[in-house]
Amino acid sequence: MIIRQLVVIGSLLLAAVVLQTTVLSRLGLPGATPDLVVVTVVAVALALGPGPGALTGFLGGALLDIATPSDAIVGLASIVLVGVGLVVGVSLDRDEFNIWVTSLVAGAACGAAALATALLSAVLGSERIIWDVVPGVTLTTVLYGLILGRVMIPLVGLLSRRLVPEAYQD
Amino acid sequence: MPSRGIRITIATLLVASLTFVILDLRGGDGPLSSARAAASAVVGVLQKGANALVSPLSGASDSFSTWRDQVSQIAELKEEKARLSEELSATLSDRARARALDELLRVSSAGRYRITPAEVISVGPAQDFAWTVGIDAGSLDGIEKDMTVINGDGLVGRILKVNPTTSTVLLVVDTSSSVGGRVATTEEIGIVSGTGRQDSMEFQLLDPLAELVIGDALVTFGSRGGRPYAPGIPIGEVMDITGSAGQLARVATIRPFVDVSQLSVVGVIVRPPRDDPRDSVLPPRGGTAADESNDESEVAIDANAETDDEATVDDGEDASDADSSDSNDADADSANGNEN
Repeated sequence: MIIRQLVVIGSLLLAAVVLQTTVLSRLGLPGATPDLVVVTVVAVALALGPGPGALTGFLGGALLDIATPSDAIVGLASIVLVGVGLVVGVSLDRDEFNIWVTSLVAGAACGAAALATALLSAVLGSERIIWDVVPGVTLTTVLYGLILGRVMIPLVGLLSRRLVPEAYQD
Repeated sequence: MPSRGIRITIATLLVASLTFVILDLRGGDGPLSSARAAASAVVGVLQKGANALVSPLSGASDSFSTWRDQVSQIAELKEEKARLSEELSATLSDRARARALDELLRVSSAGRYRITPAEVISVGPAQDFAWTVGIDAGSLDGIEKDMTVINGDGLVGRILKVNPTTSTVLLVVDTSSSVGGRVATTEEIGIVSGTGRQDSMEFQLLDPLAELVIGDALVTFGSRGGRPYAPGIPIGEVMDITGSAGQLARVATIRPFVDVSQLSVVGVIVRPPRDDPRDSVLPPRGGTAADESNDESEVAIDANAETDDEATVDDGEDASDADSSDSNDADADSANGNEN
């Protein structure tokens, strides 16, 4: 069961990272790049709980930081996304809310992740952060996260119900 | 409250993340570089595939026009579109790619750079505030760290990280990028630094008394051995100057020639030219471009004659320039020394 969960999480993340770096970042949308990886972490945390959610965050962050176009401090995104997976997994139950509420949570998670990453990298000495752009980037990433969440959360829910049915026998 | 197992998982993951941070901040070739090579190999293949699928659909095919002939190119493209409407969009994208390669060849032959062409396959997220892109050429293609990256419009950036099949390019507009620049047609040099915004860079002249006019074009000064930056590559033009001559804080705003949000085909300079190409690579505009009387830059001269007759002003200083550029090399190196 754990192996199957890992395979599902791994392929979801690989797809998310590739889509985010090749397609979403080149659309030329105003403000932020739609943060598909954060939304995937939220969706997994909702579907499978805080443990798998945090693991997804860790792996997704590591992949984002290590794979080609990134020049971020490796490990930073992992810390932020472990937090996202944990908080979402612990505080929300998958059946409790309607899809728009959970999509909004995905959007909020994107905003929080963007802010936390900016703060942490500034603390660690990055000179790249342009603070007067941060509010715009945060707002747009919330919006894009909400839209992506509306698609990704049901999709990941369906996939995990189909592929990891054991996690639903409680 | 989460169960004990989950708490242990979280703690383990956080400790692992922090280890990564520490390893990365410590610098050097730690265990992270092999992880990076492995991850980039897997992700790079997928990015390349995804890019091949997506590029005919995206607006990238409109992006190769140089800023000077965009209008005529739009008309040309419309005509082309009507004529070829039955052709597949893939054909159009191939054509655009060929045009971008033509432009790149023009620039590299004008400056006599030896280039390895590559395609941009991935772009870093905007919320990282880092202007980096991934290209589909790596150490197996002869790419090394700190090589210069150009396209048909001018300077794109330099190679930051190299993996076997992919590399990361630091774009000139990134805040951590600074390039030794020279005002075209004069000998004034300074440092061009990125501001993190895609349409503006800052230029600080080393000589505060030097003359600088809005519209002046900048080219790279070049570092010793052509790394990180080969000489003579167009960077951008002066849009605005704050402070007057003699003031220490005299900064010019530069608009880069390259549109970093629309990158597709780029060239990595694997061998810089023996001689500084001076201003011969600059696009012809308002008489700023000077032509050189040697055979290999004939392509550039032809382009000048085609679009702007005034542009073929012979600056007649080439012989003396070539001599003085050697003595200036030392200055350029100190200017470029800040980059890494």
